[in-house]
Amino acid sequence: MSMKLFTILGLLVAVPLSAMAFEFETVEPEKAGFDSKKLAEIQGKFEELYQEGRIPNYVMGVYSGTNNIYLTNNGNTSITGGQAVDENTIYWLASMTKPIVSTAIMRLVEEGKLSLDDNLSKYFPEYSDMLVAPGGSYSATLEPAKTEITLRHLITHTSGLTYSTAVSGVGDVAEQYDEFNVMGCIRLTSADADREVTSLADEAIFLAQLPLIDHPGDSWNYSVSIDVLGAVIEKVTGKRLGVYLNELIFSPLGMKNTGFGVPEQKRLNSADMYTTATPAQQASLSYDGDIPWKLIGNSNWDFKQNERKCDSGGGGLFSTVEDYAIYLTMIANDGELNGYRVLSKASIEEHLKDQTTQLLPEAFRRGFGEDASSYMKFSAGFGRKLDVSQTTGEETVDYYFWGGAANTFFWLDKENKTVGVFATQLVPSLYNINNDIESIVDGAILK
Amino acid sequence: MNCQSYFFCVIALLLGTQAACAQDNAQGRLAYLDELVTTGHIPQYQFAFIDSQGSVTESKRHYVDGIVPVDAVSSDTLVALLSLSKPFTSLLALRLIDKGYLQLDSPISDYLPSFKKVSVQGEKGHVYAVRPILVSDLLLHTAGFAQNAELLGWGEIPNTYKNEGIFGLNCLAGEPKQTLGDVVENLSSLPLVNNPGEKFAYSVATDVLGRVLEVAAQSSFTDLMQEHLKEPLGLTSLTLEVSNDVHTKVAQLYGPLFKSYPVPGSYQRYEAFRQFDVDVVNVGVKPGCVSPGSGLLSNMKDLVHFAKFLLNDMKLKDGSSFLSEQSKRQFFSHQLGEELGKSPLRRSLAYANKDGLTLGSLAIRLKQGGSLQDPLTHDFYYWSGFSGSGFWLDKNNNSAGIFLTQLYPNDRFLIPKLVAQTRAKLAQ
Repeated sequence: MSMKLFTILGLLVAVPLSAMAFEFETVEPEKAGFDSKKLAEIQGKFEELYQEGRIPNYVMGVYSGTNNIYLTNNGNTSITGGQAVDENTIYWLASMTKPIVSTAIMRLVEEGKLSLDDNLSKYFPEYSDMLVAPGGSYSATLEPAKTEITLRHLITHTSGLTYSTAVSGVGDVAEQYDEFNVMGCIRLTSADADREVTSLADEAIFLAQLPLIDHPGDSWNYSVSIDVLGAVIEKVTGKRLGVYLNELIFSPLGMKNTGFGVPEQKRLNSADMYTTATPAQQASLSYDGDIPWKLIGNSNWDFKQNERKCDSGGGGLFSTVEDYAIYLTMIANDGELNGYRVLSKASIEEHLKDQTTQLLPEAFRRGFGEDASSYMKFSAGFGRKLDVSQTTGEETVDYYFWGGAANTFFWLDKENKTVGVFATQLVPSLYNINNDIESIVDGAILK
Repeated sequence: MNCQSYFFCVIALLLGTQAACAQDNAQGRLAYLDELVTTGHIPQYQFAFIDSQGSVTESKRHYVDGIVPVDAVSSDTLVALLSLSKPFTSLLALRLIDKGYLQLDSPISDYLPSFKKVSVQGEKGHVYAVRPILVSDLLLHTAGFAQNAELLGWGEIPNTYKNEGIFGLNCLAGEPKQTLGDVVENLSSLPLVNNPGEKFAYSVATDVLGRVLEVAAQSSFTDLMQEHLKEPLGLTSLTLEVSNDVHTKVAQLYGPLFKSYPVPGSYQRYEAFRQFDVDVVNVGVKPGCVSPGSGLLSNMKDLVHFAKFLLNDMKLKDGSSFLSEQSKRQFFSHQLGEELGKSPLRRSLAYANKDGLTLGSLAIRLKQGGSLQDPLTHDFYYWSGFSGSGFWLDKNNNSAGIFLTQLYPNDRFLIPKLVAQTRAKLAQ
């Protein structure tokens, strides 16, 4: 073993020993200022979907400060057996990876190693001269990008990059992402892709050849931007993304079941992936038990056993409800938890503040539709759901949120330091009830 | 639409705010359907209710959003019927049987010799079918055929249909163009999934039926439909292919749009259907072949006319009956044998519960505790496609309902729910 490797391993072991692992304290809701009867409504929302056979299982935790005030769960890791799921069951987080990677970016900003105003071309010169296919369409003439992509554009999904068609990508450009399996760190089995994925840096460089779907800074488009930020992190730190996140966040905070991929010894405790069965599939499948399952195994999106050529900052993490709540509690607690500080209070403010102030609701319409675009903004890594006063028009943040393609979601209410994390494993994302659950918790606060 | 609501919609559009506007009779509205539209679950709907007096109440709604405006449809806009094509083709077949062109109990190989020796997929390879496929098997989906995997079939043979281009998406809109005969000939070389008569399996059988009719009556399916169905019934819009000059009257077909991230509110959960290889707005604009089971287009006007015709004991304008008494009875009565079990459709159509099936491609929903063998316990007839569109006939109350939307696939099984809601509304 080389001296260098020995040192790295030593550090990995030393960090978690340096602090006592954080644990939530389970308390009666009333002790934390919440109405338990009101909170109990949450279970009904998920139990109905579960009993109808629409979701394979569920775990929902609500945390206030360092207290766990509500937990509801049902089902097993597999609909044909497996272990009962709970707050320590491992789920694929998908896009809930993005906030964590954004936190790592904010740490590097805090350390002065990069700036949100840096051009991406500073790290990958291939991005200095981008073309734009407006709306992702190749039927119009490509335009030179009016401005360079900055890290701020990337962290707010306003870079003009898009996604593959399966992940809300837009137009002909998205179809090219499909064709080339762009940023396919975890999707190594794409039927169409004959291009081998090798490293995050190579992926970022390859991506620079494809046009943007809008000029940087002009509109919000869900995208592989956070994967590109992952490549920037690797370039700046010289470490693989998973190693850096582990050192900075997972290990010191005691997020013991979080990482890219699921180690073999933990796979029995990880949830299987499902999709909605078509009527023909439903009619042909027969499952034991009372639940009329409308689900079928979804191997296309079950990545836990895949070999990884790179760590996808946009969607590669696996974690548990409890681990993710630890991360969010650190954010809610101004960057520090259990004596370990990830970010300064000032950095947390930068992390959560509106980074899209110049964008009108129109800029969010493609991503959020007419309704939500009127009360959506984006911070450096989090969606900002606003409350807009009907009388004064004043905007206040209701909560920060995001979710993943497998129907997972979370919210963070900074004002009362309350966080909620939900997990199941079902692609595509169908049950958009984050807002409903957050409203229940808001309504449960004792006056 | 009354003046006030019209004013509201115009103002809402001018302001660019979300508004779903309709030009219809508010009395016939079902709040549930409106909610599906306003929350972005379906792009639009048209709903018609025919009451016991024959009065028609129509309602409709379409979603208006800043990014992808959903075109309004009117009662003469052509919409893809998809699986709602089947009752029309079945009715045409019974008419041609009455006219003596073919017999219900004839083997289809009498008309299509390549089906003389068909094989069945078995656990140990393929074996010959235990009996020939009969014309009646095509009407009842007991022939042993499968559904193409592109149109929600599932399994090895549906995948083979997909690979071979047998009544898949390409047939509804695509290239190259194949004749119905070519596609059916290709199908005849593939094994069945079940022995004929063994099971109900929702399938391309109605498409094969169309080809049998062509051979038996020595005419194209399009011409047969014109002469023996559209003209006598007075249907004007029913068509397999849309000519260029009426393209603007074809509704847009939509497919589901999944967001891989949460949206704190309602949003369009659909986008223009983009699974066709050709750039078209809907089925039938450039069909790759003739699909009598899924390829028809029609409009609300004709569907109301059709439903009234069925409610009116299939009487034509001159007072004569369109079908013989025997065919009519078969069109409206359960035809699957008891050997197929108490839930004969359930194996293939998950939502069908204990429903029965007529020769007219109508499912029969039972009253609570009813049985397929006791017609007095039959509640209503219906047919519903994977687009969510469908219709029902409530012969006990001499009423009918038609629901059309253009979202494919749509996993909502709406017709029984709409029957219940309409009845509740009438009871108020």
